[in-house]
Amino acid sequence: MRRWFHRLGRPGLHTSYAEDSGIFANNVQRSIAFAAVVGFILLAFLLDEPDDRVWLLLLSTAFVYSIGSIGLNLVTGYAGQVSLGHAFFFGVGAYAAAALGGSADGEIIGLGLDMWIWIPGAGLIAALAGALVAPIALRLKGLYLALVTIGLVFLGEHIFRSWTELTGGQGKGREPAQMSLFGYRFDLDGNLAGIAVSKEQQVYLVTFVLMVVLTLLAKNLVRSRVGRAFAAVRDRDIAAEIMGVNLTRYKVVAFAISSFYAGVAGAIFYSITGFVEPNAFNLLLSVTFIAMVVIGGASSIAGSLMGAFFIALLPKFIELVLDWLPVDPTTVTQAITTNQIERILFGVLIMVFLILEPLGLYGIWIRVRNYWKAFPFSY
Amino acid sequence: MKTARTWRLALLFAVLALVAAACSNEEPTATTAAPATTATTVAPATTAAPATTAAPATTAAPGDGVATDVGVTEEPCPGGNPDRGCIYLGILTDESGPFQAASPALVGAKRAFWAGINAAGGIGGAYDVALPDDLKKDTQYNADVFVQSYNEIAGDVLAVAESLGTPQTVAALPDYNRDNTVASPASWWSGWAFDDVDFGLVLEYGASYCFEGMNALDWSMGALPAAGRDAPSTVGILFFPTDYGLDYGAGVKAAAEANGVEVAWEVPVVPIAAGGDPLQVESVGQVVSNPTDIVILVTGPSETGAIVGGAAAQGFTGIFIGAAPSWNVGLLASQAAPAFEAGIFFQSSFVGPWDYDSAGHERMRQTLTAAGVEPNDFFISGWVSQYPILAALTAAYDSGDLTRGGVADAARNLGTVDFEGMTTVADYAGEPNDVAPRESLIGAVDTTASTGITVVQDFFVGPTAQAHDFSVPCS
Repeated sequence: MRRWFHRLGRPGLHTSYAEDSGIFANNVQRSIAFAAVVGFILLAFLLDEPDDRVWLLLLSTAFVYSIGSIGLNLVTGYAGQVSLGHAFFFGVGAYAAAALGGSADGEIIGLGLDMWIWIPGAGLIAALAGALVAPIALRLKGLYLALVTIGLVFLGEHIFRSWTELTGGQGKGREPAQMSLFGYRFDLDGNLAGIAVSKEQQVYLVTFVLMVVLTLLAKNLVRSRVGRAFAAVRDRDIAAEIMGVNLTRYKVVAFAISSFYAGVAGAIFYSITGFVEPNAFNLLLSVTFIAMVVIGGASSIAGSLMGAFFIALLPKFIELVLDWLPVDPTTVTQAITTNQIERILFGVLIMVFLILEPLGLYGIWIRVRNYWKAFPFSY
Repeated sequence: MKTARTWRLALLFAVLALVAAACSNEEPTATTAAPATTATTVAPATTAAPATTAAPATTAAPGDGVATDVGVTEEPCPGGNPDRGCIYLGILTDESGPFQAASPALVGAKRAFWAGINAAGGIGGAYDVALPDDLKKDTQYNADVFVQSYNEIAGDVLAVAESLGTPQTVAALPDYNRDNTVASPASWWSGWAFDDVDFGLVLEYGASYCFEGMNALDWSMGALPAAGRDAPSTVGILFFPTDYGLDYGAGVKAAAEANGVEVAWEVPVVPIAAGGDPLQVESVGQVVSNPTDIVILVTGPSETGAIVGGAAAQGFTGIFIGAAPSWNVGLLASQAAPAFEAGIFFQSSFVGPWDYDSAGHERMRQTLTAAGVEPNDFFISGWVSQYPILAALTAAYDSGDLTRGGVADAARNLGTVDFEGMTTVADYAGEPNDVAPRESLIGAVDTTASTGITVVQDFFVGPTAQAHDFSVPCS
């Protein structure tokens, strides 16, 4: 066990430049990542019973949350620009995708374009919105920037509710973009290489592939010149500027890339459930993304994934725990539902992680790793 | 050294075995197991089952010659008749969103309804119907959670006894269609009448919001002069900007145009449960500063209380007409009670209030009173919604096909369903323009009535609704 953990390498300790700047520090990490990718793909084919659909939906949600969470982590965790406006960019992406890829034969805006257009298209439109907002970050920092970005969410909510030609209006909503690639529909039951697959299996695979690609791109970004500039801006902006880092440029880049990720996540998220409604893009959604970053671990791509999976699977986990408990608190108190327990836990977890484990789940993983690497001398 | 390696290998296998066991895809036995709280607290009805159940053909052993698949077991329902099988229905309700206050009554009424059916012989004398707690999901009035919740119970239910919310149900329609799942909506959007919208799987009942709105304004054209007031020439609309408000509002506007009444203003109202102003200062200001002869309220009871009470206190002398969900008997115990007692508020509805004289109401009152339930209008909505589901299940059973597909076929070919006089007979065959129910009634505040409302105009179709070309949904 100790030797196995040792092979994972020690976080922060790199003995060569290649190790320091590689996406994966060594071959063991690379093999684990590859095995995980293969495992997740195989899982799609193993979960083929109707009862498994809910797991496919939950995991697809986790994949999409991961994309959004990486986006927020890039701007907040890496570049240090606190943003509570992530729900707005998520919404921009959702509606940009719906307009580009939505059905063209209704009263609501829809061009009926293919996935290879609407996924990057939604990301780019959201990135443009992010770039427009970024100049605010040049004037404001910390709490003030957070407050201004909250304003974005309210502004977005109003626009989404009012622009009925695009959004269908509050309480009515609209169909999202169709998951269609060169005429093949992923959002309907179909046939992949001769194997009959449900729409949930297909959506799972599409969201998973997107997550893997965007995760690798993000990993690549943060190890590059841009990533180092982000960290410099976060740690001390004046010092960064003195070193020659162009603050304006990198803050705009950070917001634009973060919004691109949020936009892609928003675009694909509503294709999972098949419906998008303007009320969805509220402050709670922004806080949910913040929770993913805080719980998973700020300035860590792996942490973003961990946080996203944790938040996406939390309701199911609570339900399983409640089933396992000899007494069901929801029937004993008559005043608390599973959803309310989830929200209470949500708040408590954010506080607990901020106070006790600022590095999040990623920090816990590092500690577990170090414990086993030094075993039996772990002190 | 060798021993250590053997131990390591043994440990590895043990861990792998545990992981495999944990990941096992075995069907949990609990899915057909007894949910604890299935309507057992409600006394079964003592009167006969509604006409649509027909007489049970036989008391055959469950499953005799009847095909079944999902959501039907040969084992009895928890606490049910041991000689019968069990049909499980799911509930997709809202326990933590804007309709959390309505949910217990809606669900409780459904459970009481089916307890009565079970006591009267169940489906064909061979199956009881259960709505257990573990197949009831809190969808938070959120479309994503709704779709996920449906998929959680999809493998265990024959049909959905409550599908709360129009956008949420629309989101789940592709899945309902794929699974052939029949659902009972807890919303009255005019779109449910169209099979190209709901695949014929959503079994609506009663007049839609749209026709209710048309009838409300049409009624006022004659009723107000009869009560010594001028015929209305202006109307204002305060509405929730949702399917509810938009559909009802579309009906009111159509009737206003037909009657030459000016729609002076339409103002959306943010529900108090969604962070709206508890005093509704803006809405009250709108009513008082731009007075109209009639104000239409397409809101919830809390908003109705704040608006009617506030406007009356500031001297507004016009009439309020509220949509069915805008009233709750609790308003008579609120600070706004004097305004309501002054007779300036009327309620339109697709179903008779608690004290309404019909065989269905009588049966509902007996069942729910025996169970110690306080009269509440949401119970009526919950109760009446189950007649079409009962009819579809009975028809499917009679045809020998109680599979999902069989029930969906039965629902699509349902013909007429009688609600024992609680609301107008529904006809599911034919074009919506020919068969959609258009009748609604009008009630006035009556402090002596069980739910504070007594009927002043029995079921009727106003001229606007009568002439309306219902070839597309109103909103």
